[in-house]
Amino acid sequence: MDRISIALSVNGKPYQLAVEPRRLLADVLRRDLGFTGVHLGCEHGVCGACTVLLDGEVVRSCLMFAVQADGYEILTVEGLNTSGELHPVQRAFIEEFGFQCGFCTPGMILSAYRLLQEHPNPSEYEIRRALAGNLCRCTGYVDIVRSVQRAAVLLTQREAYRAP
Amino acid sequence: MLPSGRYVGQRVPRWEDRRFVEGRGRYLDDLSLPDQVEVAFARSPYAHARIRRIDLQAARSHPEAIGVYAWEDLRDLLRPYWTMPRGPIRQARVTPLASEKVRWVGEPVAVVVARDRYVAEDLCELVTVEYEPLAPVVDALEAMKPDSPRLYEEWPDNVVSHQTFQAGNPEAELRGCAVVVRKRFRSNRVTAVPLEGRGVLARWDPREETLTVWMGHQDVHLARAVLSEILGLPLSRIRVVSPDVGGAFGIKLPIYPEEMVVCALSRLLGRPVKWVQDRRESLLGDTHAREAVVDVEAGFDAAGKLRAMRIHVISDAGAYAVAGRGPIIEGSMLARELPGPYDLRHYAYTLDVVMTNKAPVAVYRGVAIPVSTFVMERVMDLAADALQMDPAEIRRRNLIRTFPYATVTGHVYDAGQYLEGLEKLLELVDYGRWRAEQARLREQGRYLGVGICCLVDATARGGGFYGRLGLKAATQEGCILRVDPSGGIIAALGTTTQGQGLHTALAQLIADTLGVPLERVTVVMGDTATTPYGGGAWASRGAVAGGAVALLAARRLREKIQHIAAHLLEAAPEDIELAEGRAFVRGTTARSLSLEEIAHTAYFVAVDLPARMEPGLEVMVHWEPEIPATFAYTAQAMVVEVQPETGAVNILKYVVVEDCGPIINPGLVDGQLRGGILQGLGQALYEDLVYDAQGQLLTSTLLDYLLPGFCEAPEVEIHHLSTPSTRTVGGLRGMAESGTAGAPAVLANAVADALKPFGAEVTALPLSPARVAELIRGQKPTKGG
Ligand code: FES
Ligand code: FES
Repeated sequence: MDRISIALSVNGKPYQLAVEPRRLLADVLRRDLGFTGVHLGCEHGVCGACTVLLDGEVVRSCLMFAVQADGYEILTVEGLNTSGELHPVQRAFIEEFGFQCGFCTPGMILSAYRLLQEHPNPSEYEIRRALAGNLCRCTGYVDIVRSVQRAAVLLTQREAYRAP
Repeated sequence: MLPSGRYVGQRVPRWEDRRFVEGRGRYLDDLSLPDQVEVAFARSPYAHARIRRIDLQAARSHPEAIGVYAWEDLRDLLRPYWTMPRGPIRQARVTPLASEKVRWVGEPVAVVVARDRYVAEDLCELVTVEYEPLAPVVDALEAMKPDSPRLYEEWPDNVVSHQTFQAGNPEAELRGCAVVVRKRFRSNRVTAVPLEGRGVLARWDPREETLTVWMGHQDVHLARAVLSEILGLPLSRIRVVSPDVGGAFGIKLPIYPEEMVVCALSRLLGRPVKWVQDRRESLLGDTHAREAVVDVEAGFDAAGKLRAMRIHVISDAGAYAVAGRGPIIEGSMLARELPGPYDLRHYAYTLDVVMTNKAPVAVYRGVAIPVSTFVMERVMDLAADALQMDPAEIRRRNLIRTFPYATVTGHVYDAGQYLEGLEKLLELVDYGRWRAEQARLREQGRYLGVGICCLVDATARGGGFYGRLGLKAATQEGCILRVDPSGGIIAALGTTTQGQGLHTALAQLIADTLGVPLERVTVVMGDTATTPYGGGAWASRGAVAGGAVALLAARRLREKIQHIAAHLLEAAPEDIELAEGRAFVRGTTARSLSLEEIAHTAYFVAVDLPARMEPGLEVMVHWEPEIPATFAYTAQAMVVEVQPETGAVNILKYVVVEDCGPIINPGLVDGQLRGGILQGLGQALYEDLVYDAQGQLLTSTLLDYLLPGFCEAPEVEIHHLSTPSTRTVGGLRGMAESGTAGAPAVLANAVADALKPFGAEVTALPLSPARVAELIRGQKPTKGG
């Protein structure tokens, strides 16, 4: 099959590559570029394990072809910790036992990260609604809700600390 | 008892977590090897058919094909197998790729090897198989009829195992009962759906003639034993490694045909071969569970005491036995353990395990207990109704009060606070208030229901069951514990983890016993090359069996450290205390040695050790629970509101009282309970593997097979009792399954209670909105219930 050249930016770094038009964005990120934080739980858009941010918006990378992402900025969970220090959302998931096997976690963290950008102080209802597209088979979700609440607190503290 | 110290009993965050939040977990599909190829399977579109001809020519001659194979091509590399070689079970020969017949939709028939999965799937389309369709056998009750088509022609019928049991004289007792509940219960077919599917990567090394197999698996030692048999390779030539596992819940315990075939192909091709399942393959062909019909006759006297029970269990086993776990486990556990936490002396069961043209059935979290609890707890409520007794009261009258208690089917419950657990539950849920609220709201046409359930879950089973069935499922557990020359501690265990946080729990036990900081302890699991023989993660045995060997090993090592320190510090061993990574002479801080100094002596200056002491600082321990293992008790209560118009069930309150003995890490225990409960609620409310009359699975995506999500997950209040087991090290009982085991029962009882004014009968799962609406349809509510 003919390959098409595309340019992606992933976690701030540019990539040039040639892909088959049918190749999923998820496979390009995982297999071709090594971002194994993009997980595949269903490959039909239900579980949210493959969640990434595309120009800042939550998308499922198993439902997109890589060619459709040509020219876009992509954030995967690997991109959250660039300073060597865990992002507050990542820390919160550890502190609140927000996962067990960790397979759903990258998707959860990215959805939570996006939610908290828009609603720094979300209600429980807003958290549940915003993350409703992410399935977890281990936790019972309650600990994930708590993780997001905790992340909101950590982020606010970080902001407060940064303010002059 | 558990050690006391800084960590045990604390909500210690899991040290294995950092890599997961950074996307650096090492799940199976994250592993790749140079020169690796990938496979896809051509699968049967028929539930039951004879294979006339398999034509691989077109696929083979495609330039991108690396290899295309059917059973005939692999028969020198793979042996057919018989699962459960012994026991009350008929034998059927199973080949990893279908040979003469296919018996379920999705059964692998041929395999294609290509550079990647995309191409392999393309080439699967070129495989042509000529089938002669046969009449499918989809329903277990139909399958039992004498004129039903047979899955195995050499058998007289489709029943793979028929068992009977009787204790006391249930028939005579039933005649004298004030109330006899006679009902047929049905439970739905479900599967575990771990978010990470199955997969395998195999590498044959032609120089060493060894096979390394990576797969997310619950029992690497079992996997190796089964593969050795099927591949005809000595155990010592196979290494099985389980990387991070993205959930398993029982379905990653058997060894499946795909895994066998991938290993054989790696040997055949002399290069690494990988297969990663997609979700459709998972729903079609991961082992299914729980589908059963249970006919019950249960007799109670006028005071509500359960006198006698007679049941017939018809367990739908699907088309095959899977390797490593056979098809009769679920049914026989269901029959044997149905009486649960209640005192019962007259009991009889008949069990028929029936083969049908559906995916194979094996174990899923809780195994039979979610079904046995559903049946038993519905029976209790129905009897209470008939006697006009409160559901809580009838349980009070039947719960076992004196321990140890020998059950009618031969278990021994060592200790427990069953009644206390129930009373605590009623108090926490505020039972009386909800009953009043229920009555008040019914007047307004709102339908609240209150449900309770009690259960006993057999955890960390001992040998004498699996072993005698001829399965190589180790029920013992092993631990090698080493203080290395730098003072670091490494524990290698035969068990595995699938995300429970077991690394941390075991490290907590070891750190407290040896008086070292938690960070010093490294726990290694899931690799046959580096761990001692053990039984893996199933039957809630991680903490019980894994914890036992970790504790025993740590205690042995502590003793040795104390002896060395005593010798070097010229004190008595009893006076040596371990803390902060040092050995102190009791009462002084002046005289002490670091663990590193002690290890240095043990490894490098053995002449300074006490006379006749073995050099080194390493111990190995194996331990096996007594039969029949240990038992965890759980009581659950739930308040729901049912919308009669839509059939929707809304959970208003959910309280759980659990008793897993002493707790190593409440964060992990609560996590297991909550997760387990949600899986149980999935079964109770949404999940259902539906086959049509032709044996086609209608629910083969997550759009049709509905899992609970954020919006369906209730808050669960958890209360812990801690009755130490008298039969395990540290008194630990397992608990990872009791949430799953109780949720369907408590939900069914709550919904049945809510629907009482409609006279609706709840005897089947799931209670999906459509099913609930159907139960109500046409019924006018009666006032006051
Ligand atoms: S893998 Fe993309 S949504 Fe499940
Ligand atoms: S933690 Fe396992 S799927 Fe969410």
